[in-house]
Amino acid sequence: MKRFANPEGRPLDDRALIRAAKAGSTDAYGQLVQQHQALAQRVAYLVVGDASEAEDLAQEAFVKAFRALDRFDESKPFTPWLCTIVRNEARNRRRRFGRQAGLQSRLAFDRALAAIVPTPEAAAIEAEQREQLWTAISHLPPGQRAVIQLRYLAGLSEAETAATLGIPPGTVKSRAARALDSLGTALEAAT
Amino acid sequence: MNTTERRLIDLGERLDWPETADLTKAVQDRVSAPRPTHRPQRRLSWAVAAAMIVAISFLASLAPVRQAAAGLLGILGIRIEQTGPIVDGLGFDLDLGAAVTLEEAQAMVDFPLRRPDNLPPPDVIYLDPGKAIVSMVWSANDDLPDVGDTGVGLILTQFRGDSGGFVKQAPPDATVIEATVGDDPGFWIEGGPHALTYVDAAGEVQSDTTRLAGNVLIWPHLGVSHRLESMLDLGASAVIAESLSVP
Repeated sequence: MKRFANPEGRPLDDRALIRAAKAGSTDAYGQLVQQHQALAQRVAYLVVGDASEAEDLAQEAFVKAFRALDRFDESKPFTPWLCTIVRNEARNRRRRFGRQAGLQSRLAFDRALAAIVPTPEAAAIEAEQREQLWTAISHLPPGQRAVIQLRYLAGLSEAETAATLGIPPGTVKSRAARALDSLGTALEAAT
Repeated sequence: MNTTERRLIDLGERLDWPETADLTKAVQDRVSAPRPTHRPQRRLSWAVAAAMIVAISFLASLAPVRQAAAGLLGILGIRIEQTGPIVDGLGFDLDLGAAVTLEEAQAMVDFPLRRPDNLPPPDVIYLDPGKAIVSMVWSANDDLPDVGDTGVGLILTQFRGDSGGFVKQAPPDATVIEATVGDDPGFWIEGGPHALTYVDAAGEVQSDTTRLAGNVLIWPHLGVSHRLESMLDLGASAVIAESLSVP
């Protein structure tokens, strides 16, 4: 695959790659895929909780994003736009598979939690605290849960989270604040 | 950064995320391949289409065949494909189905979809293909207060079915009173989420829950059940409900 780079040899940024992809370069789009596929798969995984499902969803989202590139506003960042498509795909898939997906999601996270290897002396406490935190996240209202998942678990910025969810940054802030309060209270009650 | 934030970031960093698969080649192969040309859509009479939707709705209500039923929707020649971020996230987590255009939604139900005359067009429209339920969603604003933390100000749901006497499992502290919308008798439920049952077009009893912990006005009109969820009071909800018309 041809690598796109600027004259100093640094990889091209998203905007330049998108411009090249719009002009028909699948190599440029491939580079864009490489730069964003880890995040896309994580965001999908947060919704469906199954690794191979998440992989399929991310692939589908990248294909749809390519076909919609002409409508992409280049003045805006690519990441939230892609994350929105991924979440739409994941959401629709979860809908088709109904409750089973929710169960898989829960089990996947249980497995993911179990796989964490904490320091030996704090093992039991840390594992328990993380389980409590995960349970508390799952009990948040959907809007708050989405903010917490994207902002803290997937690692999106506040602006990216806002753009992905289609809400103002101030709403991300207020939802996060309320969610953090609820999570803090839930954790205190559990200890 | 407070303790909870630190613990969340720690959780995100230490979760055993699945290994990232390299999708580059698969995506490049797919976007390079010529797209299949669309077959001419089959023209079905409304009667046949309605019968199929009813059949699919019934099938989709059976969990083991839900996936197969979703595939059957393609037979109608209607393909719902989200090719971009047509959903801005509003109502995304409310489990309302797939985001569609009004035309796509209209093509999937056998009754004329109506919209309030006194509100702008909805921000997002969702279709639950299994049950042929259409939900129009408006974002919160000064006139439509945010319901909880959803960013949603109002949801109007329409589906074929007899919803007479359907209120069920309302929480003990909820207020349930009879209300009228125009000449149609309905119910006003205030005080929390509730489940409801209704008889769909196939004569099957379906159950559904409200999506928001707001106030709900439910009424049938010409064989179509309507549900309006928001933080508005009965008076304001009725004004919106009575303004519905086919766009």
